Amino acid sequence: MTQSIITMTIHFELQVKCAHTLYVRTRRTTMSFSEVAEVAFSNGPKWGRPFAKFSKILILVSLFATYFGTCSVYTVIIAKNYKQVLDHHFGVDFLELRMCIAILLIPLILLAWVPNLKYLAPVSMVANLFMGLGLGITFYYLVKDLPPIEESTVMVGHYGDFPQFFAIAIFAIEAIGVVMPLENQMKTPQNFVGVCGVLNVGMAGVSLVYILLGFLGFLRYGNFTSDNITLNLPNEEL
Amino acid sequence: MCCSIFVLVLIFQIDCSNMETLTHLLKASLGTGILSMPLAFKSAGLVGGIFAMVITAFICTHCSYILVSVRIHLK
Repeated sequence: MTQSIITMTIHFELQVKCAHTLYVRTRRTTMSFSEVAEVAFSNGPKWGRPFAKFSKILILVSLFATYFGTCSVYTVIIAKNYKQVLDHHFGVDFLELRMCIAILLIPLILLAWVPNLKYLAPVSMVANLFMGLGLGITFYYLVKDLPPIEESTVMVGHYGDFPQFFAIAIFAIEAIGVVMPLENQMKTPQNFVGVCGVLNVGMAGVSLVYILLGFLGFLRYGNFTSDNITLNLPNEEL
Repeated sequence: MCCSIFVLVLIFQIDCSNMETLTHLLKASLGTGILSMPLAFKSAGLVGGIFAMVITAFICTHCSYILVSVRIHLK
């Protein structure tokens, strides 16, 4: 049960991600990320002006690479979660992981055909609900049998392992692609930045939730922590 | 998470349009990556993870900040 809810959450989350990407692409009337770069370069110092076109293309290619990479990871995460549910109900290795991903292709392509963010708005509201529910259940299971902090618990990791931390953290927290569209559609853009602006408040809240879940998850499962915390949760109550 | 949003609203008196933007921002950055955070803490350690996460969040926010201020400057 828990896993299915979380899986649905992830699924809806992907829709929202796609919606944002679409939004980035279709919002023509205002400046997008790449256009900002182009205009910035063409209005900058003399030596930088020839690079205006190049910078626009560079930003577009980088954005594509980022979202292509993250969306690929999301597909694998969704498939892994579905696979765990299927394995539990129909026996081990009922479907191969790659088969799960291939089957997921059909709903994902259908989703990508939705042309307008407005049609996704109610779905995204439901996604928010499921997201809160899923996180709540995850927190419940983490806190339930929380062990005390022991001597053997890693306090500060080996410096060679920090790159992995930063890779995962930046993958999780990066939202640079949506900053521009969000700022464009705001009625009062001056409230976006600033010490108590929307951006700071949002990022502070997000990193707080991240730290809480990461801390509790590692404390709870220690060295058995898997790459996806939902795979650690008990399946007996399914 | 919903509770935390309400608390934020109460503390910072965010109006409706800003609230919408905040929800979008939360949705964008509070993604599936959160499920991998325990693994990240495994490689950075309990205390090291907290500090490194704060640094990461600071850098990400700073980048968004630069982008928006460039945009405001160009308007």
